[in-house]
Amino acid sequence: MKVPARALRSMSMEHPHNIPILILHRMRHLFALLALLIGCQTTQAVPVWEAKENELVALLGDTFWERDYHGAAIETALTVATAGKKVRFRNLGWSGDTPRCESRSYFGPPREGFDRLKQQLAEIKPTTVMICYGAVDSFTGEAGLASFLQAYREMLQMIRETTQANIVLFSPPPASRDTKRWPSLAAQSAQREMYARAIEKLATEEKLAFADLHALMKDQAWSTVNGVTFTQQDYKQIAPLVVRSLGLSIDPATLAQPSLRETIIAKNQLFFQRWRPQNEIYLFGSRKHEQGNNGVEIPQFDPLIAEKEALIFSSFANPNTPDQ
Amino acid sequence: MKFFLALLLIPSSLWAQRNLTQIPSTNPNDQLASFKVADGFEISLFASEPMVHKPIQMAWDARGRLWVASSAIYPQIRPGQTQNDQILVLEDTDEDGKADKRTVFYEGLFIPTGIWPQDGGAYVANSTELWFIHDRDQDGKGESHEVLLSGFGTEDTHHILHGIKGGPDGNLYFNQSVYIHSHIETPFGVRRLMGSGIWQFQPQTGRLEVFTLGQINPWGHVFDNWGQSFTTDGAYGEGINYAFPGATFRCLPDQLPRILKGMNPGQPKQCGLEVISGRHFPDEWQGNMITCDFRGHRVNRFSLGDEKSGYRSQQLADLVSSSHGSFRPVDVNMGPDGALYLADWYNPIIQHGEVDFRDPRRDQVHGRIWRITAKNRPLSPRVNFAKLSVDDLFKQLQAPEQSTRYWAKQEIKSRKLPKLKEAVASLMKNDDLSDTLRCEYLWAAQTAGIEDFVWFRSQFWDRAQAAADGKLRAAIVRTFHQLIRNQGTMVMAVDDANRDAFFLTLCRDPHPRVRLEAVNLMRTVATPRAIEIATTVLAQEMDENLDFALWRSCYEQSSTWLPAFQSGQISFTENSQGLLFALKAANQSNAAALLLDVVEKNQLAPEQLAELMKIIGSTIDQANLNRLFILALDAKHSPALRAQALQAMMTAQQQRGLIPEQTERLIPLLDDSATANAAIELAGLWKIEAARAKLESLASFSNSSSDTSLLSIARLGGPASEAFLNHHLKPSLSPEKQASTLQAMILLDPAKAAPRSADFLSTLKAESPASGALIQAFLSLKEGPALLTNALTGKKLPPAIASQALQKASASGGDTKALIDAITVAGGLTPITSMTEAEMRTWIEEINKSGNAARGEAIYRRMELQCIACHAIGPVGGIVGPNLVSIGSSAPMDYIIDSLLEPAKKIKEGYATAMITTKDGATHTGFLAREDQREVVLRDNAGKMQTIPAAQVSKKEVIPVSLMPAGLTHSLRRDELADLVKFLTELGKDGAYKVQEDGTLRHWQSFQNETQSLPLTTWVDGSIELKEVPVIQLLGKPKRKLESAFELSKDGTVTLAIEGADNARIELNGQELFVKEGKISQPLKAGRHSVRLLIPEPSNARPHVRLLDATAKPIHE
Repeated sequence: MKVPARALRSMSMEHPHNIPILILHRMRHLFALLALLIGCQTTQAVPVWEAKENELVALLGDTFWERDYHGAAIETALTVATAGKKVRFRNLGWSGDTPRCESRSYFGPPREGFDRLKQQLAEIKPTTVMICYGAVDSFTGEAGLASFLQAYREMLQMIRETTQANIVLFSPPPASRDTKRWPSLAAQSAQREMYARAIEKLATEEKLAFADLHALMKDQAWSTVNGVTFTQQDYKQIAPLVVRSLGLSIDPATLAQPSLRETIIAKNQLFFQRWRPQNEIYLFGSRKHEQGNNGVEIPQFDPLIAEKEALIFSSFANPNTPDQ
Repeated sequence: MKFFLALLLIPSSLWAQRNLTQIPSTNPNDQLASFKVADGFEISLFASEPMVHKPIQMAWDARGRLWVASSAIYPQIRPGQTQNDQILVLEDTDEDGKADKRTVFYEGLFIPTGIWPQDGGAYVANSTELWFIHDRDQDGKGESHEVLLSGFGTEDTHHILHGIKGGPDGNLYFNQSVYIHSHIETPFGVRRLMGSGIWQFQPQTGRLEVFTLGQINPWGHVFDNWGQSFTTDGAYGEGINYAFPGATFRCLPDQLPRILKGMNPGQPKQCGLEVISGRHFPDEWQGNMITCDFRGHRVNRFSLGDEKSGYRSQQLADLVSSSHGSFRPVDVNMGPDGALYLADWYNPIIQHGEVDFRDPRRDQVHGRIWRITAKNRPLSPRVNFAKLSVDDLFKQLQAPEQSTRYWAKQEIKSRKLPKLKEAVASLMKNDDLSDTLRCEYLWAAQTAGIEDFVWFRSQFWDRAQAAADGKLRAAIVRTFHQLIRNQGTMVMAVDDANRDAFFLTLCRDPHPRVRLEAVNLMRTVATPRAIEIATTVLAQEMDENLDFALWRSCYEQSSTWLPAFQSGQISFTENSQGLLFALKAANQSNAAALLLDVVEKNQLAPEQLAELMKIIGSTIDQANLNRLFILALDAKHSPALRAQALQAMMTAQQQRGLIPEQTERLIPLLDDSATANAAIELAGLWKIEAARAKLESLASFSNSSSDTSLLSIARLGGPASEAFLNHHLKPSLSPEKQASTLQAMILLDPAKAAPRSADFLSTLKAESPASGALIQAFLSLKEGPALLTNALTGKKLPPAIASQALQKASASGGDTKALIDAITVAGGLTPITSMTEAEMRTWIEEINKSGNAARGEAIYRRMELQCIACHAIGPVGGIVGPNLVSIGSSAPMDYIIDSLLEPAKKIKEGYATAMITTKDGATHTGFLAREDQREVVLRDNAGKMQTIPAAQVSKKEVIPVSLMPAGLTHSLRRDELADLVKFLTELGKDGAYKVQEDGTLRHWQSFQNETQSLPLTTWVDGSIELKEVPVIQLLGKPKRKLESAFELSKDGTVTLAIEGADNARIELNGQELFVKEGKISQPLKAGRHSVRLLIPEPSNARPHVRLLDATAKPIHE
């Protein structure tokens, strides 16, 4: 019972005047708690997101998504949770990124990165975009919140104009609460919470699905690498929470299947080399007059990625989840 | 025809192997036989394939094992290729100088370019990430990895995160090069580095900060006994760089508008760096820096000495050189036995910009580690740190071997001693400690994570006051810097007054290096008062490092201190030079009002005011412009100040179109000689119709060849201007006056001016700056090239003018194809051609067979080819193009031929052409020399700087155009071109065309008459060809006169070796000296000195003058 109580305390500090939201939060946490208590893992009243057949999910965000491409804990969990529907994933996380796409530009201003993302989304054609931002901007605190939200809205508009995708907004993961070990994070817990609630409000205003990962993660003690990024061991425990934040469920036993995870990791490596190839400046940038001829190799990763995905889907080809 | 087609269809991969016959033997013995090693040393093979392959960075660990980051994937992964690069651990278990055990520490890596074994595992730079790989059971095999940091860019795989080094302060340092953009989440917020620099990382706190900015490809990084950093660069060639916190070297223009230089300009590209320490090496080698010229197959040696706040660096003879084309020394480390080890990347092909990723000549399997030992000297003792007691670990901090001291500090850290502070305090009670040992104790505490400022201050700073040398104090201030940066000034535990008093003490320290550290600290503290305190260093002698550090502080923090100055919070009391310095450096667009206050108060000296006025011009707004106009009109101010005010208003008009009210008040100033020049220009810019009559009368009676009044009349516009200029342009005018009238006409109506300009150009006899300016006037207009193209149809141009026009048109970057064709036809020039692959192959054979490098050098030096005007070879020559010092040892012959025939085909990094389109539609091209919020500075192919106000820029692009004009080599015969290519391919190779920094005076003034001179560069071998020096009449006798200079860093006797100047009179500072046994010697004071050669005609001399002392350095500018 301690967990939601603490959450409510911090909530009431964040939104002292916003009673309706407070009530909603209270309700939501009670539901989550009830679901936990009765061990209800397979049914959830209203799933935040449901995978359709042949769904292509883009994970868009910062370091939090990007780091999963190594161990693929989250992606494996989501793959299992949507088994049989041939859902594919594209990890577009980029370290240190913000809704302004500050990490995605090369020699130009952030706008160049924003435009590049737009082009990539147009090429990838995701049917769902799962967005997780806020961990970087939360360091700017309340002062930076308005600009963060404005950039976020602009990004949402771009995604809607570029794709037909469903959009799910995730609240950012918490920073470590061990402020003795990481003294510079003293203000972070409150600031992450502030950004999480602001994103929730944004989702409501934009009529978008909201996955409150922050609420599910914040009361646990995480090892973390440096107080703000997570270890691969952390990711294994985060993965089921991501699934749950979407209102989905998995049988944890299925995650123990190492070959599936390895295939996904191999696919992720191929995709990383496809969308963020090394030597960008020679292949496509200002020195392409020298090595641009080798740019033809990059699309050659596509069939290799498809091969790995066929392998992923085939691992679910059993009577319970018919392969279509 | 069939045969021709067959040649064209040869696959490019096959074609690329055309030089395969020259690939050197891969047998290590053949390589060993090729080495020349300095006297007293020998070299042997420590490891080769299959034990090691493609080493990139290597590092010894505390247990004496050699860790190697290696990659067979570089330069670019193939689709489907597995990420399977490795970290290897090599051991010499029987200590016989050869590796006998190899362990693959970790696999599955993706072009790892950095390795540092420490903390029970290894830090590895792996593409976008910094990993820590755990080896919990210490068996030399990693079990798992954790990503510590991610988001490093990979835009270029020879620029990615690399070169991890542990510092004596306990921090890790690593580099990224100029194409890389990185974004890293840390517990202190996101850190971004857009371009090149060195990162500083504190693993235990997760703190990641940018340590230095710039360098094109920062590579080697070492620390001296005082913790000062020195670096090398794999691209820009300035030898050893002194890198203090915040130092900035050549970088992307928008990283920082001001930079520092390396200490040995004109060096080839250099990579790994090591500082010699330890008992195995002779005394005279201690503290020397050893680096690798991977292009020239050489291992270079430098000796460093103190120079004010920084250092000077002098190149000594090479430690190793080789004629083996695959010997690529990339890293160099002192081993646990005191020997020096070289990582040889081993490859006939380097780089992947110019040479295809998939070129089959690339070697992906070989690699060598070489070991260099001093003959007949015992090796250094190996230390087993894990078995030592804490007392013994502290004793190891006195070891002469730097690595021993490093691992002792690391071992102390890993013991996690609860009473470390007490242990250090007790050691520090001994008053006889050397400064270096105090320094080691300081770092031992810092490495172990002690963050108690008060303790550090009492143990180290307070006791160091008595120390004679400032180097220890500088190291302590560096430690303070980190403590204050991490925890804020409250860690100082003093009140504000005492805090500032302490900072003032640091800035007033007698030792310049302490002051440099203090200024860097003040930049981090960053309060207005801290910046004010920083400027107090101006009261003592400044140098380039201090000036830069202070500038960066004032520049970056201007949004903090300027408002504080405005509100009176800080006042720079009795520190007017501090105020001026800060104002000049300020990076604020709204500073003009404030600066005007300062000007009107007249607190500053005239030359200080002049500098302020320049800033005012580029920052002023409309309201203050009126104020400035009143100042310019007010006779109570000096004429000079009023002229400067007019100049500032001109800048305001040109940059932001600002014009004051009631402009006709300017007219009286047209008659005042002090203000006339600026007033004439302003009358046009402001379109003062009432000034027309006066301008016309000035233009009609002007004696000046380039007349601004004509331009101002054109700016007034309308039929009156047209009529005047038409009337003014007469064939009886001098060519210069005609050209300037035509330029005014272009301003007024380019379409009408074009045919008249073409007529004019066709009548000229020789090219001149005036004809160049006229051609340029068309090129800088959007429609200009088309207008000139039309006007040239059916016209004939003299070849010299056509050639000048061609050079300008091909370097302009706009769409000038049609114009180039028109000029070629009008001038009757040979059209540009490139070579087919078959022709290229024949060519290479021919050049190898009959090309002559000596003849080639003579061709290189021909004036009309202009090679020498743009390219340096070593420390002297033009800076427009890349330095060619090692082009022969780095670039294959086909690359050199291609670059000569089609300069745009391959453009060296850092030499791309930028094209700026301004809001008025004009285009400007050149090398992007500098860029900040106020202006963009381009350097054109004549080396001239052009400043474009940032406010006027509408578009900025990098275009695939070379500043090197196409067609320069078209005047050459086939055999001449072969000689030229042969010469270029020899540059930097072991032999006659390797430039040695051996004290040769390479930069001379060649006198054209009694008083006027032109610069003259020596031949690559350092000699002067007298045919290139005109014979002039001196006191009625035919003679040649040459002058050069050198700088002496301390008083002493200087000796010069003079060769090939038998009948010459030699003067040192104007006093004749006589040559004895080929030398002259003279006691001299520190400072600049001149050498003069007076050579009577006739003469067969070929003089070569060389300084024989390390304290004297040639002046090369």
